[in-house]
Amino acid sequence: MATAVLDIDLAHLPLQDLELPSYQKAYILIRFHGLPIGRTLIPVNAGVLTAAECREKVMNAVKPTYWQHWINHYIGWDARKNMQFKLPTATVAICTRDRTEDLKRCLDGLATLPDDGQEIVVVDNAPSTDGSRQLVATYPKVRYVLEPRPGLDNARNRALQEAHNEVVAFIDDDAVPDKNWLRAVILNFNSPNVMCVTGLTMPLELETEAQEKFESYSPFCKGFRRRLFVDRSGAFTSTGKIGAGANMAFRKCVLQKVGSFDENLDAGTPTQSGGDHEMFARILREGYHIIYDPAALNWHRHRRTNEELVKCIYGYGVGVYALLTRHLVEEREWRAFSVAFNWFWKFQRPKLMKALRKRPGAPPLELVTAELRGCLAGPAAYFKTRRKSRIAKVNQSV
Amino acid sequence: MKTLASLIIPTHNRINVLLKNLAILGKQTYPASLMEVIVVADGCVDGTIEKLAELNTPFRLITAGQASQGPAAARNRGAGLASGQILIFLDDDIETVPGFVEAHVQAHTGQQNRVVIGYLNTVVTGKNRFFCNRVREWWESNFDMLRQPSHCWNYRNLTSGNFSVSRELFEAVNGFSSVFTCQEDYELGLRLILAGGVFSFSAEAAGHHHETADPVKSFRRKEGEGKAAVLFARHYPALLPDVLRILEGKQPLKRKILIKLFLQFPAAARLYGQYLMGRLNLMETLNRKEPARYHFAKKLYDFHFLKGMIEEAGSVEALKKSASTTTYIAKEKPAVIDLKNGLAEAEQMIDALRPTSIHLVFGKHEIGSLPDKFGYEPWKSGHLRAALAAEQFKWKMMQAVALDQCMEIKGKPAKALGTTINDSSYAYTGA
Repeated sequence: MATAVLDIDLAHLPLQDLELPSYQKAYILIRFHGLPIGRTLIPVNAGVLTAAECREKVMNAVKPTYWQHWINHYIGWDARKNMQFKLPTATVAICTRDRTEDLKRCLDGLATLPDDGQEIVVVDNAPSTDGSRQLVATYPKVRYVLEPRPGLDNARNRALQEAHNEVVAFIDDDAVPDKNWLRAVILNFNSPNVMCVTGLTMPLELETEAQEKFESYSPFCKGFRRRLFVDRSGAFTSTGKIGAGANMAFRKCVLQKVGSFDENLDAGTPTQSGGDHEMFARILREGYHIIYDPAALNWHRHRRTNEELVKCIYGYGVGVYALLTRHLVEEREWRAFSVAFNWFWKFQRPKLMKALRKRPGAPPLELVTAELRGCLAGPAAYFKTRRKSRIAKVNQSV
Repeated sequence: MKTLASLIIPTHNRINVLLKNLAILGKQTYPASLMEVIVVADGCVDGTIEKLAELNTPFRLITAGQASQGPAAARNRGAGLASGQILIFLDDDIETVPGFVEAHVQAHTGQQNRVVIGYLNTVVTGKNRFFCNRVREWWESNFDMLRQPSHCWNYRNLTSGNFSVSRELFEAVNGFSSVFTCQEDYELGLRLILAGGVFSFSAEAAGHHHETADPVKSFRRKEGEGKAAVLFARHYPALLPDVLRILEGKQPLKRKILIKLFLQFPAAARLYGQYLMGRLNLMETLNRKEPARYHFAKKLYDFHFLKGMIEEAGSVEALKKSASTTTYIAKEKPAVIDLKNGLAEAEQMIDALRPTSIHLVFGKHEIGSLPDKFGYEPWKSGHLRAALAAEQFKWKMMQAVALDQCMEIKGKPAKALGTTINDSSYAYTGA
């Protein structure tokens, strides 16, 4: 079982049948004049996707959004460009650790972006080998920074400090940018209120079963509508809809105005994830805006093996509950309880029931249980990390 | 450039801040010989006038004092003393950037009736960080709006902290009103728009201002805004429906009850206000989470707005009677703009006509109308595409274009496109 990942523009629909030997399905990103407007999953019969079928399925998949983009295009209207604001320049930051193969793909992708004066910084987070440094040395335009303290959020903070430009765009080392990615990100920083921009992340490949499972179980895709997130009440918000760390950008001044990433969260610590979402919540609470724009597109290589996948989903569970624990402990947000309960009751419980009954289209049981196990381990993981970092701070001051 | 610019700064017992900002004004890129600064001390008892008399500035500094009459009167007084062609009104707590005066003057060249709104960067310094952040967000959103070429300028866009206008136009509309104590800037904006003032925004004419908002100050301000809304309705009957919509129109039940309470039993309403205030104070002392306080403060904002409104109006009948009976009638017939020949042509037509209202058609198909709004500038080309892209017209526009091009798009674009139409017909979507 493998799924072909295709990228089709409505303005250039394929005229010939597509030969897709060794694929049973096709996962198609649909664009309209370069802008992503939808996605669809089509079965492939006998290794061939006929042009007629492809066209029909693709058109059916984008019905609701297509005409809106069509009319915008007809009028020549782009709300992002209407703001007469001097756009900032960007620093692209890649936080990596011992993944030279992925990093190389990412750097090669970044090299193809149009040059708008951006700089590229690789933050190597407590590496066990010298591989990343040697790889980066072969790219003359890329700057290498070593962050010895383990933890993705440490690396992110370091990237924000090291950046020379006004906006820092984070991309995962296992992701590849679309050609228009950075321009689309920057186009949304069109107001001093916009502190953060997130984008659309699509699967780079769906070659293994684990990758297909990941894409159907926990896709990065947050829809094909540009959205503005504002919270004037400063209430506790669940930030799952906003985006993820694989594709997000901040103003450098976020450090002064909102604060740095919480070192107790995310990869490299027992909490495993959640650092990005904690930052989103804090930005909104400080009265700034976040924009999700699907035009800022990048492609993410999902975990290839099943063990990695289960570990990753477990990590997400840990991260969410560690984050909720942080809200509860640090901000005295009692609503963390109701958020946790609602999440369980409305999403996790039905998923679990479906998986147990083995209904068609049910999520794999091992992933559901991995997530739940992660959730249970989350609070303890948070306290553990917090204690550790406190001890480290005391030691430092002594 | 030989334009003399007069900066008018009203001040009230803030000599230290004022001295600092005057020093900063000394570093302008605009020649100091073409600048004069007029400080009007409004009811100052901190020795403002004496201290300014000792001051040595590169530009000409004129100081005037008056008994406490409010900032509007002070600005009028300052304008009376000014000898420049361009009046730049500036608050005393604003730190200007070096290009400030130059940007203001530049924006006036070539346009007689220009009104320039300058950018203000909000620096949060107040203790109540949460409230200050909300105010900062409001200011930035406001400037984001003004920044857009598609923005339809209206009287509520004039904020008195940082704007400039030619002396001729300012004198032609007789300056600030003495009746309005709150939103006197909006009221001036209204008369400037009616007199044909051409508003624009300048990001370069920038200043930094420090925000120290707190709930109590804001409540007082909100009450003033309520009063001002009624005053607007009284002086400009076209705005009466807006007030009546609040007092009589469809409202949430809670608000309706509150309005009834205010109208019938003012004492009980005041009691309710005290109860709300007491609860907010309790929340402050208990140091409850800010969102909770914010939601409560919002209730109080609304309460004070209604309080100001109804205290000023007396009763709904009295308000209706006091507002003169002539209602606002559209002066012109709407201009009919056909979009079929392309949007560029339609835009040219709109710019040539500058109509107050527009009827939009696409060939035989109706799209809708852009109405005549009181206190708004006439329609211009920049507004068209934004209006068409808005939800209101989007679907109609789509239908009109589609019908016109004989496409079966009604609800099912996919099938039509997918099966029957050959590839050449895609071309126009791209072109």
